[in-house]
Amino acid sequence: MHNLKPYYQEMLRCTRCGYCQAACPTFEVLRQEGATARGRVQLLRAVDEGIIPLTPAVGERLWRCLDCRSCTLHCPGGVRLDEIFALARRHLANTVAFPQPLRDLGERVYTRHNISGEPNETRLLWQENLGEAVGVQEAETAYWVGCVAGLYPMVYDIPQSFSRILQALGEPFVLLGGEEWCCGYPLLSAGLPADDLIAHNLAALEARGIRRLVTTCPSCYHAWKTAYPQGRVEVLHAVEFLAQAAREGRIPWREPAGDPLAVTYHDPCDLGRKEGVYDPPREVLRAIPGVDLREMAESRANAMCCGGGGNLESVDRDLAASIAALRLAQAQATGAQVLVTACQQCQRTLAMAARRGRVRLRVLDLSQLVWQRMAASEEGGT
Amino acid sequence: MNVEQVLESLREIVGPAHVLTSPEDLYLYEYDASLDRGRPHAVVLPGSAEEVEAVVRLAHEHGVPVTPRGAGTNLSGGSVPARGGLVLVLNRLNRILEVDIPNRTALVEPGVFNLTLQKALAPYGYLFAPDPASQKVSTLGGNVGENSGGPHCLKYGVTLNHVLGMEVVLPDGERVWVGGAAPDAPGYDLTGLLVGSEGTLGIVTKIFVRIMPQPEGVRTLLALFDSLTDAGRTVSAIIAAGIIPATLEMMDHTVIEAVERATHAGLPLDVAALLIIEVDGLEDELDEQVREIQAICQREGAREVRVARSQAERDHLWASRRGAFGALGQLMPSYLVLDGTVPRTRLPEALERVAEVGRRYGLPIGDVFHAGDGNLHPLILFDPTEPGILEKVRAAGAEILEICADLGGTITGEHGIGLEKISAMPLIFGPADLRAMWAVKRAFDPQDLMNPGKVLPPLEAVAEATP
Repeated sequence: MHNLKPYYQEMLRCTRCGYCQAACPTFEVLRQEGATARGRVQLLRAVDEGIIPLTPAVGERLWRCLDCRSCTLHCPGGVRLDEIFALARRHLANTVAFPQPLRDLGERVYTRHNISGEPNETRLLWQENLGEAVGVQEAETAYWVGCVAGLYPMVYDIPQSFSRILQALGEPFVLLGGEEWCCGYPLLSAGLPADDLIAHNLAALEARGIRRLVTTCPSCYHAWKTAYPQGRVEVLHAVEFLAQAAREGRIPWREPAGDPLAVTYHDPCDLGRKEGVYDPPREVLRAIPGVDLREMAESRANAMCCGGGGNLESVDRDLAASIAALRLAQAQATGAQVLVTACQQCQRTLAMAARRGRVRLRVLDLSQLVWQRMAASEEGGT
Repeated sequence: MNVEQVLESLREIVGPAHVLTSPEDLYLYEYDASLDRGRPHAVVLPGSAEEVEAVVRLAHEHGVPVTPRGAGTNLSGGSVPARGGLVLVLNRLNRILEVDIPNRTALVEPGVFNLTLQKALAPYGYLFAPDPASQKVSTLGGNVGENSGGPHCLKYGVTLNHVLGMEVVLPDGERVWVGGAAPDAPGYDLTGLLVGSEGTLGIVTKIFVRIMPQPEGVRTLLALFDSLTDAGRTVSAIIAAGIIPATLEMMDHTVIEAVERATHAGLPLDVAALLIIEVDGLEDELDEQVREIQAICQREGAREVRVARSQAERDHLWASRRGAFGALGQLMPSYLVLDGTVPRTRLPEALERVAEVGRRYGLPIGDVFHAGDGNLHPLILFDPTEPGILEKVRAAGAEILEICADLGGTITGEHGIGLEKISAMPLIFGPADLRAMWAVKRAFDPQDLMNPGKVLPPLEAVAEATP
């Protein structure tokens, strides 16, 4: 007897053609059926149909997913694989199938309000390291830093660069510090509820009279665009803000010295495939004097995830690292000197892969490159 | 046989991470893209030809059946284990070992996706001619096993015409080389025998393929028809005019609707059929050929003929064709795809009779096929949750194959016999013919361990049949 789940009908539409094998980065590394969208769907269906019991092994295959949406885009049958997996994760979270690292993640975020588990008040340490105060007490715009950029020292340079850019362009902005809670996306991606976080964050913005939110984090951006009530606050990703500033000729660029800098751009899944923001970062890169933009063979909607997508890093760190190495190799093939992305998580994952593989390729967030190439950075630059 | 001992030996050969035995994983290797199912006892994923050899040798010693598998896109149950045992997955053997442009060859491992090879050859201006619709993921080992075709095989021939030699692990674990670079290898043509043997005679571990320069120019046309019969007649008329298009593909209304819903490619929904016609060759002659084809289409009743103006338009058109099977999920949750061929001139009649089967069984049938080859792919659409539906679908499928045989055609163009069409083999072959095939199978695999239960009806059944 079928235990009809909300996603059951959609699962029936998978005809097992197997084309999703070409789309899944986890398959690229593991090369097993359990690492394909087809396999994941068949397994969930078998559980629903009572053919196999719900076990941790089922959960492992369901959550060993980057939530990168590549399979959904490439499915010739247009099966809403992303929705199937999201619903299934929601349905199966906190069951026997739910991986322990995600239980821990949930616990951490619910109690500490961020993914790292550090005290939430320490979200602005990156600013202290800057040696100068950035941001103002009151403004209509808030710079939404996000957990990774705010709490992982390896990527502090991203909020440092972006806030200096805002400052240099005369854009007043507020930093929320400990009042910024995790946007909820890691929980939603794991299948857990994030209602309290969402309610808190909305209230925090309202209390400060914030009308516009700019973020350097694609996952926060995607969460604010999809999981939050729309219309209350305008949400921009840093690349959109920078593209507009570049278009208006407001960014004072430094004179280029020496040979052109060859760069390639990695599309973050949450910004590209999920939000369709492909052109703004490229517009900015083309506007920077002395930058030669080269596209990877797989770019834009076809871009391979960096390995840091979804909660894969929590569930299977080695797999995430192997995927990052593959993406890095694609970037290397362009002959670029710098791999630019627009996501602190992609930057971290790819930079770690470069270090591990002894690859001589610098990995930068777009804000970092922009700041380095702005005239203002010569005076007070990092 | 001590099962635990065999598993332990397998783990020693390929590493513990590459032997799968959990119920979840076994379930995942029960199926391919067909409707057949069968559960293996274990799944093993070797990482080299040496490991394949050792695994097969071990299985042979212990009398364990082995079912080779690539991407599992098989449409006739060929990669489904019919008798348990091991599923031997070749996905980890995925290296392109050599591309030799001056000699126009490449040496590849069986787990390489067809499209991956195409992408590797493209920068040199070369291609590998066989291009099954599933080329994005179907492996070259699978292409060899099924002697796969594809849209461009109308002009360039099927996989066999492009394989020069192979390294093969025989059912007893012996690793041998067949064929070679010479156009006519001495001795028996084992390459010819093994290509298309559906993994029943051995497992390919290296493939030495012929590659070709990309044509100088390509023109792709889309012809729209208000009648399926007119479209069918146009196919014969084009070939009869002495033109050999690179491809000549047809989709009927049902398939067009599914593809359009899935891809929003801009295909018109009010036509009965469309043809995708591609010609390639020297630039100088193409425009003339396009004019000629346009004239033929119009004479035979095409409502409209469009010529793709850019590579992007062309890619768009092909994406809709290549995604056609998967897109049918838009209309019904499941389908049975058939793969019969008929002489090209009998196409209109075949289409009419197939439609009649659909009406009689009350089953929607879509048609997408390599029309130039007379290779039909009627797709019977159904909802698998409907009780008793599978028997009905299979019965309708069997009738369609009978129609193909009756019209002087055959029961598979490229998808293979696998499990699904064994019972249709006697439509084409007499007992003596089948006994000859069994003699070959016995010579290679006396214990019947290599992909057993596929292709041939049981020998007892063959022997009993009256000639």
